[in-house]
Amino acid sequence: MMEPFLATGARMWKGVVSSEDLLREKARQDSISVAQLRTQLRSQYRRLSALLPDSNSHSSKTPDENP
Amino acid sequence: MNRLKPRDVLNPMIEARASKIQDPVAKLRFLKSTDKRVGQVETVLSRPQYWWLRNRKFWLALGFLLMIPVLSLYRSTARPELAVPASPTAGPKPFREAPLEKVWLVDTKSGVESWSNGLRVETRFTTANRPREYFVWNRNQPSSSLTQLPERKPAGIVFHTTESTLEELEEQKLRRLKLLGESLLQYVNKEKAYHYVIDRFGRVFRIVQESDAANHAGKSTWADGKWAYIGLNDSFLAISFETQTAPGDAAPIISEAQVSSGRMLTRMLRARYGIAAENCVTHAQVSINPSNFQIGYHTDWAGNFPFEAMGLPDNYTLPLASLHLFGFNYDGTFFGNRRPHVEGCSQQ
Repeated sequence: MMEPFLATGARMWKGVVSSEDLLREKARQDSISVAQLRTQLRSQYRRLSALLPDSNSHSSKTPDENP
Repeated sequence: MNRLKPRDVLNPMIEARASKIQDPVAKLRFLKSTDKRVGQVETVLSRPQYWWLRNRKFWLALGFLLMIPVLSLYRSTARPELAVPASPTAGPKPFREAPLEKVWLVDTKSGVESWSNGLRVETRFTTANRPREYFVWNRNQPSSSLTQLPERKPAGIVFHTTESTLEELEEQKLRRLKLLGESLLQYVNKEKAYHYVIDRFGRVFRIVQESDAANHAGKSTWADGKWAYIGLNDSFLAISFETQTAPGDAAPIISEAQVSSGRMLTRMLRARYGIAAENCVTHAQVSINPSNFQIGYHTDWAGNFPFEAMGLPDNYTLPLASLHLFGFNYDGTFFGNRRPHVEGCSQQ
């Protein structure tokens, strides 16, 4: 079994922790759970992604096609 | 409103406990586990027989009753606390960026550009792609739509690793090192994969011209103070180092010559396009997989990129836009997963 926390280093986790803090703070302000906030934010992402033109590679490539 | 949400009561306690945890991994694990437990508590308390536990008046009355014996025991013997001057903390030294000096092209001879800060760029692998065109979202106006900025200059830099086959950097291995480097450059030129590649000897090669998009970031997001960017192929420039991502906190596999060239190249690009330091990040920080809403589809430079040596602050501390603006998440695979980047090249 692969040891977790292997590929990413501790420096990278600091950004993840600060993101979590921001997320929880926003959820607290809006009096909703973090899970509910995530659902809202994902809808936001889907809405914005749908607005991107086809010429933008983001909407025309799958992750597997990354270099 | 007499209805009490368990989350309102538990969140301040969780925040207080989490703020005392120094180790980021321990903190992440704690937050993840408490999220799950709070969810379980909410499920149990939502049952009808526990209506009284959700009643704010019940808890206020209980608190009042408990305060009576405490107050009766209290004597006015409390002494005013002496004001203790705060001792200087020995935290990390803040990053102080030197002002960005103008960098200009000195001359071009035999396919090599010489720049005023000492940077040399080889252009024999340069190719065109589609012109840069990107849209941004004003994160401070969540209901707003996408906007196209009038100027089409790049907004940031993404640092990559080629994840191609490496050879030991020794004089006896010169022929093999050159062969690997040449095959890598041919491959990334064909794929229009990056704007710049820095080979093992620190030589800088322009691949896709700066005015065009490169196929470097795939599904990706980032944000600065005002704008959020979705799909960085167009909005961000790509600098790729001929190397592989070292696991965890291991020292990066990068030569001094590569670091030196990377610093000069970063400086030149930032000076020319006015790129903010906070928009110079690694592929691991921006890569996402929208099919399962997980971050870190690619994990190159996931933890040991030498930001400081590139003349940048430690941008690993910056929050990830994918997590806090777009609701992406992560699991154990984010920390244990590595994906090769230029598989085709390594097979050549």
